[in-house]
Amino acid sequence: MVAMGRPDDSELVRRARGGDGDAFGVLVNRYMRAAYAVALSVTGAHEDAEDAAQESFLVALQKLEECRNPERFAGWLLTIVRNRSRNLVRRESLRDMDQVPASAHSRTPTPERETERSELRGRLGAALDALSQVQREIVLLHDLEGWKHREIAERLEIPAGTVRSHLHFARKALREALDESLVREVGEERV
Amino acid sequence: MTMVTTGGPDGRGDHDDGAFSRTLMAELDPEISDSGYWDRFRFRIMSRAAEELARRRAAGVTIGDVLEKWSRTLVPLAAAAAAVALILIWRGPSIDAPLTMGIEEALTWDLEDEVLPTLFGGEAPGEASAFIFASEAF
Repeated sequence: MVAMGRPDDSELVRRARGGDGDAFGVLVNRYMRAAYAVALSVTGAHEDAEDAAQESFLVALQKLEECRNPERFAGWLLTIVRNRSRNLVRRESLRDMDQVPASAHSRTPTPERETERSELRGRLGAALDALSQVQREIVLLHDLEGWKHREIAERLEIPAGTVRSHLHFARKALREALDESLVREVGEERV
Repeated sequence: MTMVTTGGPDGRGDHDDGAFSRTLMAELDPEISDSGYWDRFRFRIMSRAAEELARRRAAGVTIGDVLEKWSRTLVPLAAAAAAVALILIWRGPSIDAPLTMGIEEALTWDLEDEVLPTLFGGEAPGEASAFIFASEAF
């Protein structure tokens, strides 16, 4: 969301087209988490999501002139992220590589807690895989990145009612697939 | 920690699903287990983007300058030339246009083929002799 007094996306895009690093940096800061969430919803693996999200920003910069509606930069960027993530998955499936486990992003393992988290992430990954692509994307953007229904609707170019519906069913499926007590335990340990 | 509460007809209303889901999704944030993750993420993008940003800055200056100069000089000239060309094309070649020639051309018009034969061909001996006498006199 763009707060009062902050440059809007179209202004930042215009400046970035002229090579303004600060403007591009603001765009990166504003959308890097959303880009990662969308990439994760497609790839299901942290490393792949990270690569796809970062590559997408660079591709977006190179093709900035193709962004015909700079005020809709976020939606345009997320389309690039989605496409690159799909290409990455396709390439990896062609290579017949093993799927990176959902717990692969744990870089600082601590014994017992990490074991529980790994278990949760594994089950969460499986539960997310069971959702449709758009449901995954919406639940990640809303519940991980904190985007509002309206923002998601604008940027994915779908009706707000559809966003609410997808979010409702995605949450319901996640609840049914996961043991609530496991989530509570991990959450309490984080505090 | 956001605790999961129950509510609604089945004890699991949408509001509670939200808290439950947010707790779950928080586990997917790389920053949880990797402090400073997003700073590094951004830094990597900006490092790799530096070259393209520099290229854009350089290209922006050159192209802008050229376009500005063109807009001030070449474009009006080209427009004027195009206008003149259009007028000429519209008028077309005129059959009744008066024949124009320079003074020198007018003086020698239609004489080239006759002067030399006349002087050296012996057809007008009187005039040739007069020319020789005149040159000896001077």
